[in-house]
Amino acid sequence: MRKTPLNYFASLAAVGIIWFFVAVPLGNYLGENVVLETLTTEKFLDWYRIVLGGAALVGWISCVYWFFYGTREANAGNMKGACRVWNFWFVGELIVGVITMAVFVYLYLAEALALVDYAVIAMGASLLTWAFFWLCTWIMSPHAVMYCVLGRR
Amino acid sequence: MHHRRLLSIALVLVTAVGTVSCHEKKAAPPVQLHDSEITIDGTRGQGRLAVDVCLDATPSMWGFAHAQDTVYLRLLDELEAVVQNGFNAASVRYFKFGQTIRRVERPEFKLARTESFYREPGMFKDTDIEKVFTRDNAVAAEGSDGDRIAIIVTDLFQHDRDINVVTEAIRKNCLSHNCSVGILPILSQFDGLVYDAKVPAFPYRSGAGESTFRPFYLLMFGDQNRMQDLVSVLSSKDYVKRDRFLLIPPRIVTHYTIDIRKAPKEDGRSLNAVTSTGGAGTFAFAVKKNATGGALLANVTTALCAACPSFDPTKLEFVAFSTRQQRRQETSDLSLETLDATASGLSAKLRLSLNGGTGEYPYELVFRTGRLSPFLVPSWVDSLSSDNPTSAHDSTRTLNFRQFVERLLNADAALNQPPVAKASLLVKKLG
Amino acid sequence: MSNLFYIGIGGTGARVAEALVHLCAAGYGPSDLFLFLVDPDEGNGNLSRTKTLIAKYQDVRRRIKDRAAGVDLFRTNIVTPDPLVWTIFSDQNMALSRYVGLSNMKLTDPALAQLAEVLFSHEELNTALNEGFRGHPSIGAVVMARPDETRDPWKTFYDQIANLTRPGDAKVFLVGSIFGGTGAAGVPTFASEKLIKYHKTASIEEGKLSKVHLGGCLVLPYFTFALDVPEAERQRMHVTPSDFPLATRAALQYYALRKLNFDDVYLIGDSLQDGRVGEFAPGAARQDNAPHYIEMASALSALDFFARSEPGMRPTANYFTAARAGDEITWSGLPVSRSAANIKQEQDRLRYRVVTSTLFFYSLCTYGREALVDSDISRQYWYKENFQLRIKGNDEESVRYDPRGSTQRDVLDRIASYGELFLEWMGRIHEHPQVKLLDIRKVLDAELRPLTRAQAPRGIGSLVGGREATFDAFIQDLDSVGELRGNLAAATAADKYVSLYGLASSRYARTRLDVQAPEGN
Repeated sequence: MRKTPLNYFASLAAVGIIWFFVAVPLGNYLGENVVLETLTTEKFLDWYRIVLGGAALVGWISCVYWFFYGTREANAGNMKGACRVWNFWFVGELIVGVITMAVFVYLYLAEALALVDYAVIAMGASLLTWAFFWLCTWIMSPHAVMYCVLGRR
Repeated sequence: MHHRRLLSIALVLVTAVGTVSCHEKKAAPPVQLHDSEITIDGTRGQGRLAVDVCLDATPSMWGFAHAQDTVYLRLLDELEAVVQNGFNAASVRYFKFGQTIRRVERPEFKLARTESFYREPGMFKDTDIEKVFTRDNAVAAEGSDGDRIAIIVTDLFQHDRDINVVTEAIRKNCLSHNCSVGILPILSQFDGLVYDAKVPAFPYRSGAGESTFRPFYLLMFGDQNRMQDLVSVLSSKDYVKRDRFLLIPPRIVTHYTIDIRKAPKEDGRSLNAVTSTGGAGTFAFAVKKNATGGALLANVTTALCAACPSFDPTKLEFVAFSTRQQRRQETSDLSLETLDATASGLSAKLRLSLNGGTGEYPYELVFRTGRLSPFLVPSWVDSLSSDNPTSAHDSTRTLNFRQFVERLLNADAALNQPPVAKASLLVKKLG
Repeated sequence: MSNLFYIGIGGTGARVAEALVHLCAAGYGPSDLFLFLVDPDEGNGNLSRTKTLIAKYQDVRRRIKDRAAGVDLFRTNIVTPDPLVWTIFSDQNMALSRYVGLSNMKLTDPALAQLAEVLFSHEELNTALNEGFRGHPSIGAVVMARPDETRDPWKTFYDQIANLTRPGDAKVFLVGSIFGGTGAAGVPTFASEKLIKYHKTASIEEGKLSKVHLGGCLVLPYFTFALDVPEAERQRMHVTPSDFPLATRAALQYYALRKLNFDDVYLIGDSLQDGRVGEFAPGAARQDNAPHYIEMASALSALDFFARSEPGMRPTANYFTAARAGDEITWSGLPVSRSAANIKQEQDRLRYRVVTSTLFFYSLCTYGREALVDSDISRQYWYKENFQLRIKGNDEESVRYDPRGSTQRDVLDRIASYGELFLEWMGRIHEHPQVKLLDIRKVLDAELRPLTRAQAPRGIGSLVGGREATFDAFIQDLDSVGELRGNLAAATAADKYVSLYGLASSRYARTRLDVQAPEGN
């Protein structure tokens, strides 16, 4: 699972599966429970799924870049630099998660979503951004850089 | 005499409508109210337009013919030409009525400018408008398959007690048969005796100005679209004021828009809008689990037909029908909480209370005029009406004209409850 | 117990021994080898260097217990007697006259004494021999004819031969220069009938057969040196390059006439013009000639001799000659086998072993040492999979998982120290412009010390001509090795370290430098 390009495809499958579970069952739960003032439930879910899809795409691209980076010869012996890169992308994914939530807040500003609804959405966004990046790099990083992942150091 | 005249008018009306209805006999309003049954159906009949002009041949009408070159005489002269010029293949028949009614040919109709026309024995003593409704029961035998409008030319005097009779006749013979009533006042010079008054008949002669003219009326019965067309054609004449044409039809709305949303904040907490698969006018909501419903806000804008009476929005009626399992029945799941007029139309707050289990609940929501005096009498009616015209006061006005119009409007409301807007609503109850 | 014996005679014998030891360190040698040297010049720089090298080799080999399959560094068990060197004389100021007891002889046997005075000049009789025989093999022949069999190194040598039983079981290889002094005297002397071949411990059926298969490498002139003889030396005996051709000719004539008991003789040499190996020095520490590829070729002849498998004895000796065919010394020009069918395979094997061992020692001396002090190494995959960064208190754990611990670090330092000698040796060989085996200067500085990774990021990948690779690629290959399993899982940290770098070197040679291991290697 750590070999290229197997990890590219495996991470794509993983993000697809996670997106599915966040978008469909969790989305349906939200659709049935959130209070909407102006949007139809379908419109709410459309935005929900599209924005999360975008976040998932960014998460996957981050993973792919990391996998590519880890296989490059020039990075094999530079652990300090490699770990800096991982930290950078992880923080970047945290920011993506925050931006995703900001987008949701903006889209749903006129609606009457409760804090718990946003918490659920935040959980979904996290699973597709920083948590996904962390998990994927934990499992699928190339050997050369696998110990740069937080928790494995 | 007045009583009998009113009764006659009523009978004429009944006959006219009955005649019209014979040809265009529509059933009672259908059970299913489709959108086309909310708005006025703008299609016209393909056949020839037939106009029956029924002239009141009682002495009170002689005052309109006595003066020279009155508007009344001009109308009588020009009516046929106007109709035939304005409509292809239109035909005009003439009737004179009073105590009785008989058809006359044009040459005799032209004698309406002579006093003898108004003194025909067996006819002149009374104006029995009801007779108009029985004028010719063999309409179908004439072979006419076009629309037919009956025009009663009369000065419409009536007493209080006769208003009911005439109104009832019109209700029975016209309004209840999906037939519309049209009232078009025409001011004309007058030189004669005014009979429609609570005081004895008094002489009156008009001066040069129109303010001294007295009104006579074209009371019309038939299809509202044909009537509007006829009035449009007649309005080419300067003495016809189109803005004084009042139509009392079974449907008053040319088009409408309706938008239903859930009420904001707490009122709509348990509801969420869902995408509706129907077209315009269809809405869908989902009721959350363990909830029974919530408040909905409906915004309605309507466009009334030009001559139709406007209505008091607060007197609109709301009714909801459940259409579950292919059956349509009135339901109390939805009720009207408030109804307000807005700058653009109406705003209604509806309350959905759904106690059933999980599933889909389809409804039809209808806004219609209430049964009790929802219509507003046009202001020009008051300018022609008086409850006690005398030679010194309101001499150019018609006795109780307003009450007459009011009762016709109320009869139409009570009988037809013209619909204003309709919506289809689908409620999904989540479990 | 080894049945392979190497006897290096004189300075050349010592330098060839040096090359042989390095080839053994590279994994090209046999599984066991008994080795000793003969040189009266105990302070000879060549000898000292070789002695030090052998000691380091044995020390390193002793400390490496386990290694991964395919990592054959320090494979050969080099056994040496104590002392390693037969210095011939115990007295440092021994002269020939005193050795033969000329003074006494004059009294007891004056005729013999006079014969001695006729055969040897006054200088020959009275020059101290502690710096060798100064190019007079006749002196050496006298003093080396009767080694003391009761004392090492000869005692152990003869004891081991005595333990063998079949003809040709023992393969004894002599190496010495054909010119000069010690070698020129020792080679024919040791090749005489009774000294080794048909010595009482080696003789079978009363001298009809021998347990010993005797081979010899006579190294022909291959170097010159600056003839800047100090004034003090001009009056004393010394060899000059101009003496070489005559000395060589004389020696060859002698060998042709004399019945020597070699089964195989290798004659190896090079032209003189480009063979400078250092400055003039008559002997002792001052005689420290730089390594030459001919010494490697001579070591290869020893290994070829040891590898022969023909049983029994042949009626006639085999003569093998090898010389430089063209201007350049490449892998395909090195003499590696007497069998034409094996030459290519053996050259490939030699190349593979030398390249991988060069990679191993270079990477160990540079990145391997860096890794032992760099704290970021804990995130490096190859390190993380096999070692732990901080182990406190538990000695057994520390030995197995902490190459930075004092004991393991010491082992690795010793290996690196040997590696530096190996790299320097390779560098010296390549100082000769014709030598084109490796582009060794890409990884060594002017003093032949290893360049760091930062100084030469691509050096390691340029060792083999026509190839380009980086040090980062080597680290990738280290990562590719992954976690060492099997018997290595319980090995010491130093052993694991060696195996990791050995396997990575092998992989790097094969995949990046296209130096393939022949089948069965």
